[in-house]
Amino acid sequence: MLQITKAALESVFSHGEETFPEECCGCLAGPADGDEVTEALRCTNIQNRLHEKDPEHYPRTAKDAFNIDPLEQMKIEEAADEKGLKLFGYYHSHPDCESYFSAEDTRQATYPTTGDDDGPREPIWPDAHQLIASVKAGKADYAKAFTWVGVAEEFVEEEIEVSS
Amino acid sequence: MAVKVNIPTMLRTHTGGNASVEIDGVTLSEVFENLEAECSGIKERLVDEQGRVRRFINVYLDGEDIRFLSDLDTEVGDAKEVSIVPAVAGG
Repeated sequence: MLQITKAALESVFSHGEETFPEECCGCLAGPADGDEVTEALRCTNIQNRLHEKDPEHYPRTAKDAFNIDPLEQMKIEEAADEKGLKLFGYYHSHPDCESYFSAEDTRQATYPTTGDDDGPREPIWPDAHQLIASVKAGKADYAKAFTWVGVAEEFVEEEIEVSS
Repeated sequence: MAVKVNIPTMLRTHTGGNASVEIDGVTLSEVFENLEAECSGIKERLVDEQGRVRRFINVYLDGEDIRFLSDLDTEVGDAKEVSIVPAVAGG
């Protein structure tokens, strides 16, 4: 189950509306000794930059893909430690699309355990909650969260508990 | 001389929750080997079967992306910090 404050969830929705029709992305953080996400830490989606530099390896644009700026990610990890926060997972939006853990989401969140891309895969971040907001015609509609279930060997939808 | 290795949140199950560990090594490859000796299971998350850094891991040596240095052959020298940074992507 993903526990998240109303303010943090609304922050995810606002971010998705601002970046529409492109995907937004960021980190979900909360007190290191707690169980709840209290902050949505915005990140820059560098997918367009990657696509322009290397369209062969990055065929998608920010309209249907996201890639968190790693230097921002590094600063977020450092700042989180200083503030006594920890990362619970990540969020992104699906513009004009439903919230579901797509084949691309799954591919990017897992790695092949035998080196064969079509072989068995493991999650990169097995403990991460993955929150996806559906943003339609520029307005946030709803969000769903997903987590890795080892027994099922796939990402499965989990309950979201929103506190005020 | 030991270098400080910064561990991202999602890998801290291997470090007992520690955000950083001090590790010896002349090259980054040695640092990763020694890191594995201290934090069992972490190396497999960072490096593939061919000994290359996995695509979803970025490694910086004092803020410089090691892909622009000599990857894992990069010598640590007087560097103070190795940062392991997740590459998070999807669509």
